[in-house]
Amino acid sequence: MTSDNRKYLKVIAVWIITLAAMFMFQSYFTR
Amino acid sequence: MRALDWLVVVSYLTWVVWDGLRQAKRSKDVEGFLVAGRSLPWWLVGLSVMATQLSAITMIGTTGQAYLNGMAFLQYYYALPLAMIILSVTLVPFFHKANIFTAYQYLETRFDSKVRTFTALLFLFSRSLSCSVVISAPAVVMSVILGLNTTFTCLLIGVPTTIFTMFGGVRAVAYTDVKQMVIVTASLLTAVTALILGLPDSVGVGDALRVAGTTGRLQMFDFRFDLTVQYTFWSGTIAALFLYLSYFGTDQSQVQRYLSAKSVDEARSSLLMSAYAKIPLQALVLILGVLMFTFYLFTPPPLLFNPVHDSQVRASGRAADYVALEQKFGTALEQRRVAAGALAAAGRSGDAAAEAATAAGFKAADEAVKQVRADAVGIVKEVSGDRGYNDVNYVFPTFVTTYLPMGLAGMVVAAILVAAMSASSAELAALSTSSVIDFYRRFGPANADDAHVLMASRVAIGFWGLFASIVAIWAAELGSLIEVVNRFGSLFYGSILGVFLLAIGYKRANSTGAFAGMITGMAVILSIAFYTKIAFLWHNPIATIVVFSVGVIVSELTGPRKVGTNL
Repeated sequence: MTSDNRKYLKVIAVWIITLAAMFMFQSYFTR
Repeated sequence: MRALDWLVVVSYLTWVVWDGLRQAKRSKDVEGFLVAGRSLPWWLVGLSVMATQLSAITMIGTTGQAYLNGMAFLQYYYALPLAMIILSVTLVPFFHKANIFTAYQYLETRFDSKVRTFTALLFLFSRSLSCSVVISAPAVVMSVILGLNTTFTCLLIGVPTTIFTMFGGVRAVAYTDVKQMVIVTASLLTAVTALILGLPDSVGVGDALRVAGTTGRLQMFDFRFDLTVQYTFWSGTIAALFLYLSYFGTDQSQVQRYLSAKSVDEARSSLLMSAYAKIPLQALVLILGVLMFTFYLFTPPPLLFNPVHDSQVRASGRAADYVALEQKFGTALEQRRVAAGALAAAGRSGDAAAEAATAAGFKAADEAVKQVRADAVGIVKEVSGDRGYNDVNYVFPTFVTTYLPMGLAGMVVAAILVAAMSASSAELAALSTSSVIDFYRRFGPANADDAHVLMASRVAIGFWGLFASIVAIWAAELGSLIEVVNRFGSLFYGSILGVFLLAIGYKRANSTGAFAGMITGMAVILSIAFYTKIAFLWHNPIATIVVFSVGVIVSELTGPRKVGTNL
């Protein structure tokens, strides 16, 4: 895998983690 | 605003202008002036990309929206990281290799001058108006909050911005953007801290957020697939992807940012910076609005956040009704405060039944407060004759000048003004570049040398700065009209993306196909905007698909006249 592709995968991983964290935040405070 | 606050505002603005002017000595040729000699590091370009998108309207408008409606707007940004990856792989290396100044230059090489002229004109039209709105919207709010004349605040933002951009060029824009990002982030964090400290001792941040949650203000995911709802998870991830590809990939105000990076890798890294930081930063802006809501649950807010309209109503024939509403408002606020306290306590106790019961009481009390506010807004609409009145933009500035300690209030006001200045300076630089490169250099004097083009670029910034300031002053009087025209310009992002996709993705496309596709796409979107309730984010994919399909069909029917190359 090229270093560029690794960079993009990292962005996608952080994106998914951010959305998941926000979803958990929403679920916790709107239960 | 006290003396120390004014000192902070004046010092910061002076430093921004002085430092912008200092960049003039490194902007002595066209390449240096328009793309900073293609020499800027990734972090500088990255902050500049983010700052251009974060204007004063974000600070005052988005926080106010979150105060009223919550965090649903965050969904608008969900596709941004994906768009940045796609652009990093496709357009960024392509534009860098082409060694161009504007995105529209490429369209002439690929199609013909007609397509380039048309897209560049569309850009000049929509960006010059949006530049005026970027100046006028905060100028109107700050004039009311600071007690200054609106014309003066428009000029306070417009004139220094024009001057430092005229001399410092894109390098000055980038360094101003950095200063903006630093002071804006510091201001947001300061305001969040002040709001948390402003809660009563018995209410923690978690309790306050749980109370906000019962009103739906922490809803950041709406999974309904409904094309008429503005912000849903699907519009934010699918439709907004097209908007961002168009905005960051083809809009000169953004393309110019990463054309100034020193290499393709640095340009890519600058875009990926937004991919990481944009959603958290926007979440910070929105949570600030939600925290203002929780703060005002325990500290009484004014009935109207715009003091000018408050005095106007008091001096009108409806003054008695307004005073009666104020008393009603006081009682409703007190009931809501008690209900919020009870809900917070129930939430802490972990008793689900008690929590459900107090939540119902709190929602009813909140509705009562909303109703009184709606009645007051109705009176303002009647007295001022402004049917579209709302005071959402005044919520954050009112909080800042009323509750922030001396010096910090000045910092936030300076941040709002600098955000307006840096966002409009980026627009001025882009408008000037397109005017000179896409028009003056083609249709102006044939043997213009570098010094002549540099001078023309400076004059163009002066012209657009003057234009934007004058329209801003005019817009301050006729607000809603300019906003409508500005929104009209933003309808065409999808169509422009369609043309670029056609240019780089379909080898046999010709200029007749591109032109026919673009005109059809724009006509379709105008009809959809006027005759349907489809949310605006969905206009972008629809337009892109229409332009691309019509472009392909017409190109096939008319035959390829000029064969281009794929990426």
